[in-house]
Amino acid sequence: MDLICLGINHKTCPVDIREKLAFSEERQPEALSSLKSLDGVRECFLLSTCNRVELYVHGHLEVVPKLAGFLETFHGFSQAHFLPYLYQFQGSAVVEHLFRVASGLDSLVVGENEIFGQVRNAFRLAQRLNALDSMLYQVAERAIRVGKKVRAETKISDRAVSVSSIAVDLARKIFGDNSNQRVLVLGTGKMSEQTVKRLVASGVGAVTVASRTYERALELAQKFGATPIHFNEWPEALLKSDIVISSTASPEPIVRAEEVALVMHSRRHKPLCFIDIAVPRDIDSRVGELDDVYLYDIDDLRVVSEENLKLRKKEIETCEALVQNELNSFDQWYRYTEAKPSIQKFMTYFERVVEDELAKARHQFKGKEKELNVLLGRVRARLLHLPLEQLKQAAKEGHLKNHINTLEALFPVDESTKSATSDLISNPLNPSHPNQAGAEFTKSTNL
Amino acid sequence: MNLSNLLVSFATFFYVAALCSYFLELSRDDQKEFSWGSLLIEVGFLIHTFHIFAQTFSKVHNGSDTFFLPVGSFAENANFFAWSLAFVYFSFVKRNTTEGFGLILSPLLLLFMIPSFFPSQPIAFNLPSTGTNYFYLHILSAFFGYASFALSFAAGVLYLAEDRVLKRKSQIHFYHKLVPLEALERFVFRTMFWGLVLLGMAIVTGSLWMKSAFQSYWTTDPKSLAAILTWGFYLTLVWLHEISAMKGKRVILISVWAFALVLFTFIGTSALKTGIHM
Repeated sequence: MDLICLGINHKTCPVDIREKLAFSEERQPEALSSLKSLDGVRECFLLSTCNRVELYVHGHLEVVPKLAGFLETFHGFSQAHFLPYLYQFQGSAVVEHLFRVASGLDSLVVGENEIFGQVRNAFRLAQRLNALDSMLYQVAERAIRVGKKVRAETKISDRAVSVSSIAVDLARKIFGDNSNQRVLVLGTGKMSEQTVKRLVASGVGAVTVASRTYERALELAQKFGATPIHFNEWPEALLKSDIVISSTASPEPIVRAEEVALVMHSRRHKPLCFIDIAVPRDIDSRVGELDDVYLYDIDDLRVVSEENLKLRKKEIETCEALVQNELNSFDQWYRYTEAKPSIQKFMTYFERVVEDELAKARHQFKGKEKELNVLLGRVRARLLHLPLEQLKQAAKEGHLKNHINTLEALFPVDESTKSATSDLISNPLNPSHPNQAGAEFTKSTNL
Repeated sequence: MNLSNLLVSFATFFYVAALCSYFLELSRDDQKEFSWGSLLIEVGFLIHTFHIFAQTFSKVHNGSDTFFLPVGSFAENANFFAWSLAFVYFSFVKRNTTEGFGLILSPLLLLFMIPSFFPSQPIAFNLPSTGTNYFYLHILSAFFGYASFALSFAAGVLYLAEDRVLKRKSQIHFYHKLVPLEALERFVFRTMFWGLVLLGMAIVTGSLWMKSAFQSYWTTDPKSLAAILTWGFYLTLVWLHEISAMKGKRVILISVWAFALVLFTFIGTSALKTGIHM
């Protein structure tokens, strides 16, 4: 199996090298085209995320130095910097790796969903640029299938594990539907941004952003359609808010219990939820002791995250089994494709015998050539159907080689007649697309 | 075993199965759209309704005077109250709540079904005009009203328990199983509203029945006085909540304590053995 995967990921490579080798979304088509044009590359597929950069190639092993050279040339980044971090898979290990990547089993946060979308997008791009043919097409298509299956049939992606998602989930447990809730954001750090992003995606009513630097509040507000305010205006904004997300760089708590107690009195004890993701904390811990005030700091959210992650890890075994099933299915498909030349010989022999006999008797069917061709087509399909089914079954059971040896012994054929029937071999039932032979085979083996 | 006993056994069986199913659903890690607990409790309620009808018609056939609602003994009262609880839940509030509430409803139903399996002395009725529509409406609306307040109380207790979990964070990883607090608060006040409407109806129809039976709209019977006091208290509470003067845990806590008034009106005043209510 001439498959190669060359790459780096969060496990092997520090972020400063990863970001140098990452392909931006805009440059990915250009990169894929360059990769495709390399000598010895028959098919290729490129996966670039914030945690990994991987090149998948159908070609001989000699192409590996060219792939490293491609990374160097494309990014203008010397190989000496990234070679120690590069990993390489060959043959069936490539298939297994991509299946595990698409399933989220190789991700930083096990079971995350984002990677599935990224693999799918990479596949679509490769398809659009005609960078895939039969082999890598099958691998990528099956990787997407197994990624979908793993998420549908297991609980690997069930619970939130990121701090921002858990914060949103907890707010939902207080307010239920978020659509009428007002959110106040104190500080414009990365964590705040992620949490606001999640809250906006969950459909919160209105977001207000307060920052010591008004311009930064404005910038974040513009991103999410929020309202920016000056930092000293937050106490008034608190009165109208239901969820407060705080992540300022203040060394002292900025929200004190006494202030919140007054606010709660004015709010007539309408519940208020504080999510404090700042270190050191922004919100006085006594705030959480007030009635109808729910305070969660970064440690609380991490406890939930760890619990949810434990649940995900329990699912890994089931996911690995699903990956293994798909690998077996792919293996059968591959064995079947390996047997193609022998099957081709058998079919060529059959075609030659028919053509020879037909040449002798064609004059007897003058004026009825069309009917004759239809009849021969039917006879051919019926005669070949059973042996081909048997070969598929043999591929499934792993003893295809014996059948192939028998075929070659029983039907010796001259190599020169091969081309006449090559289209039939791709798919004897419907020779319209090279990939459909594999698809048909997979379907019939029901795996 | 007659048909009535058979039906009550089946209904109880389904309520037990629903409770077990709710517990299983709670202990499961995943969350599914479909709830077996919900289906089982609905089947139980359907059978329970047949049971109430069977009891009602069997009383008519037995030639009992005029009064045929199955509230002639402590066991029948408890059974009818359980049915009223389920009836109010399915009729007025089911579509507005979450499956998690079934976990509170099913044990309550079971609690009130238990007396049906023990012998109970019939209550002697010596009242005039018990065959009038006002009388039947009075009984029905009183039962349904108390059932609404009981559901409100149960939701209030659930709210306080969840508030504790969310504030203390001791079982915080369990959060995904919780019913949102605001949904519970809405449930508490929605059932309280229906309780007010129904208890108000019971007071009015009781007064109209009094007029036909005793030629007076009013009596100083302890249950009547307690009912008016309860109704007034709940009305104030609903009004304060409605105008947003009181929200959150504090108002829920008051609503939970207010249920003591319902218990006193429904059960406590009967124990006094004075007046026209028994």
